[in-house]
Amino acid sequence: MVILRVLCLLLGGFLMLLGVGVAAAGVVHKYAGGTGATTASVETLDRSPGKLKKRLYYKKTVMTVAYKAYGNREAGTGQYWMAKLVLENEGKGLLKDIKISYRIPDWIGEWTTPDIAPELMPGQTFVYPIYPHFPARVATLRTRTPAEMQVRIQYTTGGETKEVVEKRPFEFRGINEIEYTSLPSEEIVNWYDQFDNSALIAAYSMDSDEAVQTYLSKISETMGGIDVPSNAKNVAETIYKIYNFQLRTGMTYAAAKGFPEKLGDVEAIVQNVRLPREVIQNNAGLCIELALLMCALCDASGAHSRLVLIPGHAYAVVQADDGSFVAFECTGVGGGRAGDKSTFAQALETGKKEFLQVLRGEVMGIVVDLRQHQSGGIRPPELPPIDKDALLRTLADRLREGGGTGAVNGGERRSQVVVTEKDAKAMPPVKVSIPILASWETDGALERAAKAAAPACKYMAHEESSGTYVQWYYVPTTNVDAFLDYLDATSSKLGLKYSFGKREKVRVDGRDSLKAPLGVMVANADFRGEMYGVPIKGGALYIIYAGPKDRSEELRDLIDRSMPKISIQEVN
Amino acid sequence: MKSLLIVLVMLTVGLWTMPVSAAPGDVEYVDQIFTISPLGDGTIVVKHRFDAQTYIAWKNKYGSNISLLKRDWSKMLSSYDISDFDVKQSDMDRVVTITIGARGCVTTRGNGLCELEFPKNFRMGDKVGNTYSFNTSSKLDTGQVLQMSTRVVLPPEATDIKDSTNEVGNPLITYQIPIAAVMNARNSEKVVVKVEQAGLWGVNFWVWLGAGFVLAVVGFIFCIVSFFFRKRKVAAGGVI
Repeated sequence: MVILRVLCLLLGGFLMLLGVGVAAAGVVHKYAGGTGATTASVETLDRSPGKLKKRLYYKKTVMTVAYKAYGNREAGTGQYWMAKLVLENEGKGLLKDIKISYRIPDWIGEWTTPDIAPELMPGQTFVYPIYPHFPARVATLRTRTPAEMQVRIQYTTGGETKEVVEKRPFEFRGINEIEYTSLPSEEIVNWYDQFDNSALIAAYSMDSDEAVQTYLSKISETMGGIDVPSNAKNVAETIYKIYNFQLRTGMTYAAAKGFPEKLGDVEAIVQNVRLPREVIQNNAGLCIELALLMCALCDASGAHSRLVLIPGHAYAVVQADDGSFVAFECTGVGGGRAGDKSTFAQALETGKKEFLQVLRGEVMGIVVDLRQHQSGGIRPPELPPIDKDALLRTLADRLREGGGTGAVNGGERRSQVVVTEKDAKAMPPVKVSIPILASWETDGALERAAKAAAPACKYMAHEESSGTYVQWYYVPTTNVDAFLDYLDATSSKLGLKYSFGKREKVRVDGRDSLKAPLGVMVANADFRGEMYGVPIKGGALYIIYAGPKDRSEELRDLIDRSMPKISIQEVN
Repeated sequence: MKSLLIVLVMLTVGLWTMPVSAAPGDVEYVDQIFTISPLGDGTIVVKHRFDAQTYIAWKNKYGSNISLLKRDWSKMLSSYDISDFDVKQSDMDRVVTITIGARGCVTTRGNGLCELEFPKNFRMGDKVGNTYSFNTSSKLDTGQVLQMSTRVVLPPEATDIKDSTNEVGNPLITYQIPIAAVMNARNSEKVVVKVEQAGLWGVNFWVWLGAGFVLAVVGFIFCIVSFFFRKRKVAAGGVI
């Protein structure tokens, strides 16, 4: 009995002590840092080796138009880092003298001056976002360009100095390429996800660009001055002047698909958006391009503009000094397949209606405050100087011709002059002689079909074996875009789709003419060639040479031999 | 090196406000608490009470896509390594509470000296013990009035707390943290990790305390029981 009693007492005492110990351990672990703290000293930590764990996040693509934002740690409260390095000390000793530098061969050639973190204690984390200062020449890139980011980490631990270099590939996007979101397509859940990068659009609003300034000065000169945007009336007047100038100079809305419209519209996440200077140059733009140009012009006049993005569309909202807003539908200039032009009042009303829908939450919308984002560090790129005089001459020509020399890119023009059926059937007041090869067909089924589809086509010849052809049209107008619209409409009946490149001046049979490279899609075949526009009395002749892309040298030879011998003779 | 990017009116404006027409005088309330651990990591708790219209707009944007909210916050807190993110919504009260774990909030300058950097327009406010706090009231573009209450809580072990500015003029709080506190925090973190791996997440303390208590009670019972094991008294000289 005594033994049993002693055993019980001992066991009870032991269990009580153990219980108190376990409970105390729980308390200590719950409230670490309180009683029972581990003792440690700098000397002990210094002797033990630290263990570096690193993670490097990086952007796989960089929008060159916004290259300044990636180099600015203040832009968007620092969210536009190019890479982000996270260092953790997983060891038992200190990591000391941590130096981080980076380089991007071909762009930032030398290792940057290292940033230093003096110490990282065990368990601590150090985050280092990288904001590279890209040279201005990145803004000259037109297409995607691969590059590599290299990050060097040097540190000392346990008396030993170590170095690690991490390399990550990425791509610069072309200056015109806008990436609406940086999210992978499988991560996109709703419409807002598609505009993860919407703030970077602010880099496209270039109110201080020479071309925009010159354009605005021409508007001011033509339309009788631009008012200070003190209230909504003044802002509306400024927009009215800009809009009317654009109508008078033949600015057109290229109604190509230009904006992410629905969820899963993955192809549209990256879009080619022309800079405002290019819209001025081409005299045509998509909704977002026209809206950005309007915003840039209004900002240049002293107002405060915003770009509003809604599913499938974009438009401008301009704020006056007194805080009032004017929303405007910039595609009212009309064009392409978008329909007719709108009056200023209609465009204003449409803009107002669209903006109210966003404000009421009836339509999803993102309001991009361009000025705020720009002052926050998302600034436009440095652009090469322009030939101001040439631009002013172009604008003067457009004013004189009423838009006759509009856009040149295929599918993005819109003429205010229409070639009617009667026009197309009109006989030319000239006799045209074009040298061709003797083996060519001049009155076959193909020629008859072409003339039937397009009565303005007065002559055609083609080579049976290759498909190379030459034809000339006569229309009683010198408006090139009117002819191109006519060609678009008639050639589509034959399954042909034309596109045209930049026009240049040439002389044809002693006459000031224009020339433009062309491409034709015939079924699945790719044809290339040239178009010559020759003004004649009462209208113009349009001569087209085209042939298979893989036989372009033969076509070149034909054109070079044929063109100098073309003869155009007036007939009474 | 980096700025503490929370507690900014700008941030709140950017993330919370939607293009809705607000009635003049609508008030929104935001409470923000930023707690720094001895390791230099932070826990950010933001509690936002919306007016009706803004709450609808908020729900439209984030309601079915909380990952978008996380991304937006992660962008704003780009100087940190976001470790945890939790959102609680109360439709009844139109209150959203966000809890964010952020690592690497503090820069260690050696020998336990820590630096916490703030943006230029940050107001330090009043300091009581290890806590800085301040309240602001501002009018948003949308017409609402935003009332914000902000607290920055430094580790309890922090000593020698000072306000200053860094080389680029940003406000700075510096403090000294004992190495032992850092090591303890790290060890505590390791234990929690182990317990989490064992599938006892969140109950380690109570399990231990309970087990200790049970053992102690059982021990006490044994001690009491031992007193019943007495030697029986037998009468001298034979059977009674």
